[in-house]
Formats: sequence, C-alpha cells, structure tokens
Amino acid sequence: MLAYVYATFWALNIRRNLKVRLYRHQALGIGLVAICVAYFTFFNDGGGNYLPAALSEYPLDNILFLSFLACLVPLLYWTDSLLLAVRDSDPLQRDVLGWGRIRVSLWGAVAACLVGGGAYTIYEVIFLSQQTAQAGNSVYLVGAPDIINAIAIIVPLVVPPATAVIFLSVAVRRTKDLTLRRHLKWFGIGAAFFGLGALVDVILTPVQGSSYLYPISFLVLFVGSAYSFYRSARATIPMYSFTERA
Amino acid sequence: MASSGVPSLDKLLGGEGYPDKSAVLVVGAPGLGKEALAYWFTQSGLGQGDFCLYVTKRSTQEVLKDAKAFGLDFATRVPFWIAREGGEMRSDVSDLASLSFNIKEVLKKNANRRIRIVVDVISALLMLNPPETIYQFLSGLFEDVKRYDAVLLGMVEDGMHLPQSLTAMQELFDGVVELRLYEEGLRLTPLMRIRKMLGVQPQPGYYSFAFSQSGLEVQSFVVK
Repeated sequence: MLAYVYATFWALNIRRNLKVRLYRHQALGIGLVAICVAYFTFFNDGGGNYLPAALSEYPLDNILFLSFLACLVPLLYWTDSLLLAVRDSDPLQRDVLGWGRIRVSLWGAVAACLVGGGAYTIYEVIFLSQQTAQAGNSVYLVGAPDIINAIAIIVPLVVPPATAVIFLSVAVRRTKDLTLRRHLKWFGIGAAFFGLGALVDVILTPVQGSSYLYPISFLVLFVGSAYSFYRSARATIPMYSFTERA
Repeated sequence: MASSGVPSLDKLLGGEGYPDKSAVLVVGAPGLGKEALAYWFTQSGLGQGDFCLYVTKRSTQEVLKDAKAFGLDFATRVPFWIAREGGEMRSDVSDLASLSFNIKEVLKKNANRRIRIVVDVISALLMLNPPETIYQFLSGLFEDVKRYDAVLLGMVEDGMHLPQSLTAMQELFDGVVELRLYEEGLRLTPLMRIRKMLGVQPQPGYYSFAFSQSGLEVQSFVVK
C-alpha cells in the first residue's frame, strides 16, 4: 500500500511544478488513481475479501461499497485529462473518438449515480428501520427498485474503466508524443498487474491455507502494479538529474 | 537586440534581450510554461511598436486565454495571427508549403518594420513530416529572419520527439533556452538553462524561474 502512496507523492510533486492546468490535472489524476488503489487494497483482509467480516455489517458495508464506487471517479478524471492532453499534443488537435462531445454526459451520469446513491444511503441510514435494513442487507440501496439499484451500481462501476480501456487504447495508438505513450504504457502495465492480482486473489483464496502461492502471487502482482503506477506517475513529464548530460 | 519582455532574462542574455537577426529555440516539457516566454516576447514587441507575427496550431482564443493565465492581456495590441481559428490567416500544419508561403508573404509586406516572429508549430510539424523536411523549412525561414532583420522565437516540446531530432533542431538555431524539471533526491525543481546564444558567452549555469502576475523572475541556482 505504501508503494501506491509513494506513486501519489511523485504525481503531486510533479503537479506542484507544472504551470499549465491541463497537465496539472493529468498529474493529479494519476496520483488520485494510485491513492484510490491504495485505499482499495487497504480493506483487503488478505483472504480474498475486500469487505472484511468486521465491516460487513449494515450500514458500514453500504457506506464502504459507496466509497469503493467513488474510488473509480479518479480513473475517469485521469482518463479525461489525458484525452484532453492527447488532443492538445495532436498536431491537428483531433479529439479521440469525439471525447470532447461526450465527456460532459459521462461525467453527468457518473456524478448523478454517485450523488444519488450517497444521498439515498444517508436517507436509509437515518430513516429506514433496522429491521427493514437487515432484511435487505445484500442490497446497495435498500428499499429502492431493482432497476435503480442496478443503474446506481453499474454506471459508476462500468463507465470509468470502460472509458479508460476504449478511449485510451485508441489514444495510445494515435499519439506520437513519446512521453504520453510512456505514461500510458506504464499505467496499462500497472492496471494489468492489479487486475491479475485481484483475479489471482479470488481464485487462490480457497487454497490459501495450504499454499505459499497465495501470499507470493498476491505480493508480486500488487507490488508490480504499484511500481508500474509509480513509473507512470514519473513519466508524466521528462525529468533530468544534474549529473546526466541532457 | 529584442527584449524578451522579462528583465531578469534580458540581463542573462547580455542586458538587452535576444540578439538581432537570430532564431532562438525554447525547449521545454508540456506544462512548464515555455509559451509564457513567447507571450512576454510578443507583448514586449507590441509595446515597442514592432510587427509581431504569431504562428500557432491553436486558435487565437485558446492562446489569449492561456496568456491571460500568465497575467498577460493582448486586449489593446494584438499580434498578426496565423492560427487554426480566429487569426488573419489560417495555419494548416498539414500543408507545410502554404504555411511557409504565408509566413514569407507576411514578412515581405512588413519588411519596413522591426519584426518579431513566434513559431509555436514546430512540434506539430515534426509529428507530421520527416525531420529533414522541417529542417529545410526552418532553414528557409531563418534566411528570411536574417534578410528582414527579425528575431524569431520557436518552441518545441521536450520528450515528445526522438532525442536525435531534438539535438539536430538545436544545432539549427542561433540560441537555445531550455526549461526542464530537475530531480534531486525527492525534490523537483524547474530550471532554465541557456544552452547557447549568438554573441553571448556560453553560460553553463542553471537558473530557477518563477511565474507571477507581474512576470517571470529568473535567478541563479546553485547545484548542491
């Protein structure tokens, strides 16, 4: 987890030295993504469970789930700033798949779901009887129609990662900016390591008691992911040391 | 000499600014504020009644907004724009021949005035054309700079192109100013270096720079 925090430190360190808002957003974005991954891994109890038993009681579970959903917002923020930076560096100032036109709608949808979900969570914690809440313990927005529950979960859960995968895979192919490419490449490696780590975590959980495989693979993949995010943060802008002849 | 618009930088350059009949390249990573040097250079020229030509791949509105963020306002006196939108002429970086022709025509028409040129399309041109084509384009432009007694300030993005393209580009120009982020342990410092300047003694030192609403402050920086 500290490795992710270190990546955030570098991102914010770079951001402090940038003068142009667009690139400051980009640096802040990668920093926030790394800190959110750190937050996410903090709640992992080392048993493949991202919602430990101690915190799985109502209403803490719903509040934590909402915070996990909110953790995906920085991914959209970083994707947004990066796509604007890609447009800025493009010689013909082209948008990636019309990002300039749809970004406001996507932001609106994600914000509405999170703010709505948050407001409803506060409402249910204050006003719903404990009995009703216990009965719907496995539901995010207790008492709300299924369709609302589905939208409130799916939109913030799917839009940021899907946007990142679809738009950035086009952006990385289109951009000729070597620094942006390096930044994206390291982020992609970090995300792949993290995804693989989460997958291994789930698959190996049942056999963890009798195997060294679980802690080793868990550590390797998550440390690999943290290192890649750190490299991505540092690749936001070229940096030089006083000794090298640049 | 043409003032850079930044007194502390002028002092570094021998007291009065960029040398006459010279082409100076500003190399810097995106976001470090190298465009600000172009804004102050232009504003200083407009203040002195020089003819200022600003060539950019962006729209004039975007440039003006960016300049405003650095505390510069071109509301009363504006340069002659060759820009993507909103300028007197349209800059089409995919059509190098017409861009070159337009610049030549503008310079010819204003040959009787002191001329300052800002070229903020070099990175864009390098992305769309082979480096040799851009070196040729710039060489032609530099001939006009000498002919019309002008001063040109070009900007190129650091880290965006292959290092060999950037090195070759720096060889072409009479002066090179670098804005880079230097790392010392956990500390990052944006520093300026004058790599070379026509008629000025080579200065190997580093200079820290800080932006404020009143301008840019450049100070000597001691490496520990």
